[in-house]
Amino acid sequence: MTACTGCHMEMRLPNRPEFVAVARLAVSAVASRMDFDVEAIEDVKVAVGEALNNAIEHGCPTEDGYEMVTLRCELAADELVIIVRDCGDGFDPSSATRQHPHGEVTLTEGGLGMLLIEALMDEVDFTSTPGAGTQVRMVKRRRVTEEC
Amino acid sequence: MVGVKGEMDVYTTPQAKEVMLGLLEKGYHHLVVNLQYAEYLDSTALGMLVGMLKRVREKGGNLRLVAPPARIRRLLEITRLNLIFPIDATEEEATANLNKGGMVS
Repeated sequence: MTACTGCHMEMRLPNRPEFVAVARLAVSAVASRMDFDVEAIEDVKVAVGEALNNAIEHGCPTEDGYEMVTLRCELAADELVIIVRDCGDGFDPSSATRQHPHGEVTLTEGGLGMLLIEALMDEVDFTSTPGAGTQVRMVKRRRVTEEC
Repeated sequence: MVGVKGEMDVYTTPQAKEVMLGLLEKGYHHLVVNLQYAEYLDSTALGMLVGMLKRVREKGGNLRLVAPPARIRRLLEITRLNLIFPIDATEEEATANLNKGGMVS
């Protein structure tokens, strides 16, 4: 079964560590419905987890101890667009810590998430405005398989 | 020897970190982390392992990874952490390499 082209799904969830697995499962189920192969589903799962991790790290919790993050999936004919939006303080993506994919390997604990997202997805855009939150838009394209 | 089973992410990593810090406090500086049954590691887990590696190396020890499944091996390759962590196929191999005192496999 192929999921409906043009549909979208949106969910809002707290930016708390225990909900990251919920987001991963939801998006991997959508990718599965779109007939992505197992490896691509795994890529999407990791990327969504990392986007949520960023929303936890850079988010701006209210007095309840969390903020709501929006996770949106847009289903196109041969690609899945995933948008993760928080309403935190925002940050400058160009200055964000990240490991350089070809640079010297250092014992750095940070910056791995961005590196994974960029490596696993076909297209990634970070939009972050100080005071107005951060949006990560990621696209995974379905690989064309030969038909008999 | 520490075994990871299932998913180690931003939610579950703190528990694993606590276990490893406990071992460090007891004076163990040669750690083997078996990933054979790990299904998923995120950047939080990878970052924690890097932190542990730094700590044990400061004490003259090492941290070796055992049998990461293909998916996790891929993440190690993307982040190039496969160049930093010694990786062994089995726990026996890891123990033998630790005894040799080799820093890199």
